[in-house]
Amino acid sequence: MRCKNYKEKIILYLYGELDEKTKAEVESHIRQCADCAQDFAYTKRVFKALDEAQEGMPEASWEKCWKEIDAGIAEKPRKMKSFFVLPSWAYATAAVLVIFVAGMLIGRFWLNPSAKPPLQPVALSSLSAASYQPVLQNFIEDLKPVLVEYANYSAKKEKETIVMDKEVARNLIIQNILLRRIVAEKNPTALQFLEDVDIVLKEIANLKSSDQQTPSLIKEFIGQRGILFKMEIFKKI
Amino acid sequence: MDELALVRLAKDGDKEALRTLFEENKRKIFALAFQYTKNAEDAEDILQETFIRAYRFLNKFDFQNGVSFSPWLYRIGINCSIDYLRRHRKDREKNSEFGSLENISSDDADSNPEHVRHRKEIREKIDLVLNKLSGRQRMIFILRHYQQLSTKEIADYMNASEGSVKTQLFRAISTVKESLRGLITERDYEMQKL
Repeated sequence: MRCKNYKEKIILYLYGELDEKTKAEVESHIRQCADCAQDFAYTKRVFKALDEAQEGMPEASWEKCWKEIDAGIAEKPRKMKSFFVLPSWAYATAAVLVIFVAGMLIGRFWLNPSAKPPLQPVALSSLSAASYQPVLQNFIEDLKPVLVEYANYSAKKEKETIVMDKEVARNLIIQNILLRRIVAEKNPTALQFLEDVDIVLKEIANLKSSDQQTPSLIKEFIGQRGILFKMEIFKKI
Repeated sequence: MDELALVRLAKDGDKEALRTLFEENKRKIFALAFQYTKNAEDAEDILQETFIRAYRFLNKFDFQNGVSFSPWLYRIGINCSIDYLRRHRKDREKNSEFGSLENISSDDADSNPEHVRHRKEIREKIDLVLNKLSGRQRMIFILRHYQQLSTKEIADYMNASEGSVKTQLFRAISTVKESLRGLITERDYEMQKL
């Protein structure tokens, strides 16, 4: 073994991390090699200096800290509330709907007083295909990274990523509910696609970090239903 | 009451149980944060951030899988410390430029003023060199040298391989050794031979 390797081993030796055989090898080398013996002695002195540099650990003022923690914890309900707030595109769609309905009312009653009231209530489904397409495409943009990730799932997937996916999935479920209402009568194919996506998203949202089987089932389902393929089609329409 | 029961109560919103859980772990997290930042105020900030983050993720803590609460919390403490230093690195570098030997408190019992000054100089040099290490390298060094965790435990806590932890540790200690070369002599620290 070269001296450079022994220099690495010396550190582990001083931390007591070597097995008996390697420990004996290091000791034997230090007895024979003046350079490594010098390095060993110097490293020990540096360790001592490092230990001395840490003397005098202060105490945390716990009551002060707890006050801050308590205040930080109290902020949680506000954060939780924000989880249920609709995404910005939903507000934009609502605004478009309001303007659309207002425009119809103005057109029928104000600009054309002869028209017969009352008007039929405007259902979400009465939107034209062109008006829900951008919304569907935005939804697909948000959905794609999650589905692609699960479509390429392997058992080595990090737990942290799954936690993040769950939060994204919950948000997408809400978007999906609104979107299904919009496309319900206008586009049965899109509705079927969104229902399949809903199953996938609910599985992801309820996934437990220890669950190794469900991600594989999700991957299988995505493949069977051709969800990625359909997603690309709806994105381009 | 055991840790598991306290976690159950805390998950159900029992603030006293939460406080007890945190109180039992505060010293360990604070020590880690202090050794990492070398500043009591920063360490208190990290302690608070760790506990607030832990509370927010408490529902994700899965004690049914045999995971203990303390190591879970400790892992959050490690991440909070690294994040904190990353956010405050520039301020710390600026402050360290104005640091002087006179500002370093000493409980050195040595009556020789020259000797005391020399020790202070070494301490300051160590602080400076530790500040220059990357956040991750510094954390690995703190966990091994001061928290006395094995490289395997560190690898588990930091989601890294044991080999990479050993490499980072070797680099960190080599940097410290280089910076102290010439400052530490045999006379300063009489050591026993093998």
